Amino acid sequence: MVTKIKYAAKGYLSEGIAEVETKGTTASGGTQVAKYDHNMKNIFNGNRLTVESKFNTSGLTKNQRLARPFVTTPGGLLINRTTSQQLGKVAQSVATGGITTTSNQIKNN
Amino acid sequence: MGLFYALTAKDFLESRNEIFIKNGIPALMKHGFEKSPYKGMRWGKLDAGTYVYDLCRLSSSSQLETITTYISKGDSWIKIYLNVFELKKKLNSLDQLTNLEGVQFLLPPNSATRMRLRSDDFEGMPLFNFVKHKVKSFYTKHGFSKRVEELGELISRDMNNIDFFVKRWKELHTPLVTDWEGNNFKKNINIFRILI
Repeated sequence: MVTKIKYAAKGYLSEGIAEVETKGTTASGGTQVAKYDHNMKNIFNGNRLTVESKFNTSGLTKNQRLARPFVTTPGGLLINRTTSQQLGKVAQSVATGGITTTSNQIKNN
Repeated sequence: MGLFYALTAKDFLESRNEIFIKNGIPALMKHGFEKSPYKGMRWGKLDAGTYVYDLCRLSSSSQLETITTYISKGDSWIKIYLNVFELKKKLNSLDQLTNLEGVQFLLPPNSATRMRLRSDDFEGMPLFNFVKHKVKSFYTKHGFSKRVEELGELISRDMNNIDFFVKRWKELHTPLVTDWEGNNFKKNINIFRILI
């Protein structure tokens, strides 16, 4: 959700999961596909981005690492990392903002 | 997902897969597409959360037209990609490709020319593109059935008009010249020139 909001501010909307083939095969012999969280498209110029959301220090899966060289969108694979610290700051600012607004309302009354 | 009507991610995936099986595949078969004969090509469930269908046809001008469809758990889309290749050595029938390696057609530089239907083919600003291969939002069971029906009709209409999308692809791209296994011919020439 954080990634969607961040990229929406830049004019990008998600068009679902991005599927990228690897050279590997599944147990049944089919060509393996790696999935990344977002296939973003710019609503003004149509540019595409492949974005993977990650939380804290989590890394890519084996499949995602194998498919990374085959991402053809500009800039390759983009990893949007959200940390618990960032989330904490956002929560803090929302709470502080709420208190300020309430105190202002009391003053106005 | 609906606000008042809860549908599991698995059921949502299955319903989209059913849409493509019922409306997409028969329409494509009617227009000469068939299951890709290459080794490693996918037809149905790839893993617990993905359905992939690889189809191809040989055009009258002996070009290989490929369609790859992805239906994934976790989103609301049916993603259909079209790509066209100029085969270096003339092909008479798709049967000649049986058991050849076709993975190279799905990897760069070949994958860079693929066109996502109802997205990449849109002329003008994408902001005004309202017709998409997506199950739109729904709030009730009836609403969900209606959305599924709408998408089914759109998929059927688009797959029956596949030649329109091939024409549009040709306006946007030039077919890459490859051998029967998708190895890029121009690239090989460049390597040859460097060696000289």
